[in-house]
Amino acid sequence: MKKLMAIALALVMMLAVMVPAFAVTETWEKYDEEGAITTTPDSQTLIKTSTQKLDDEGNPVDAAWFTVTIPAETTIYWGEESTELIYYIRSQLGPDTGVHVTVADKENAYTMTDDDHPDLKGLPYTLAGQTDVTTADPVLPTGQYAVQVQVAENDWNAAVISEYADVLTFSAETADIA
Amino acid sequence: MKKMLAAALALVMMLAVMVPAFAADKTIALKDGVTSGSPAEVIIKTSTDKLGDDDQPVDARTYTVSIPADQVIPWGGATADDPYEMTYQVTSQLAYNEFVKVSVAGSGEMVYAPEAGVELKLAYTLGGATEFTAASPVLQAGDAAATQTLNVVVADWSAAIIGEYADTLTFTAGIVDETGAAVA
Repeated sequence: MKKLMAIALALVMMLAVMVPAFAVTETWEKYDEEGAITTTPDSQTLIKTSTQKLDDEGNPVDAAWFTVTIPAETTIYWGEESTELIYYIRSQLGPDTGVHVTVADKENAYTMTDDDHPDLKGLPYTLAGQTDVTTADPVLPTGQYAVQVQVAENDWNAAVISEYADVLTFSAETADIA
Repeated sequence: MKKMLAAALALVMMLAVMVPAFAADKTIALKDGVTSGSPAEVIIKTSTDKLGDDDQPVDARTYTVSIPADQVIPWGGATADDPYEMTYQVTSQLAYNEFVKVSVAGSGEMVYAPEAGVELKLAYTLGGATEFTAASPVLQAGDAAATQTLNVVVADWSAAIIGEYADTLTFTAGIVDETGAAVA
């Protein structure tokens, strides 16, 4: 009897010290862009890049860039019917955006002249090759493009030997990739 | 001695850091949302040199004088009424204010040596384009002035013993300016 009473008493005492386990209340809070805190139902925070970078003064500026590099002067040896002029394009732009470059004679006359001897007849030429290009990839670590300055044999043969010159203009801008 | 060596070393070091100045490339750039340098102007310019067979630059100026082959004048065939004619051709592509000039001269006497120690002479006159200066630096093969004519006239065939009389015509060519002065 005593043993039964002891067992029953022990069982009652065990039940008395059992602490009931309830579900923990979990609350997520999230800062909004203004810095205010609101309750949020989920526990996710988005991280993403901007299309802007910070300039030297810490101001956000457009991160897209390109460069087009062209030789300042090209020598055409006498009698050469085709002389190549190479230019380079590098870029890092947004999606479906390329660099559009055009090359043309500044005066649109396509005639080289000798300014020291204006009485000399000019030397006509044409431009061939990549005179109107839109790059196919927004990210271009380095791209090489070529334009040819072409002078016909008959025009060479009829010209007084001298230094004839002309100015080409290179224009560049961003453009949609077709 | 030490000071001289130090000065020489300093000079060598200075020469080593000297960077040759080449024509700078032109650049068009988009940066920080701004495009600069467009349109860029670049110069194309001809050289007065051409590339030789070894791809080295050489002076592009040129002229050519094509002289006639040895001529055989039929006996009695060069008279005042009917001179013996021969032609030579000149072509040129020279620089501004440069003109090719050709001179032709003979001794005025054709000589026949029938035997050792004997020389018979037949006088002649050389006429026509004995002095020619192109009117333009460029004279192409199809131009009228590219062909020049000389003529030989023997005044008196009848007095000469029939034989093979001969003389040498010498052609001299060079470049002159508009004043006629020789150009190097």
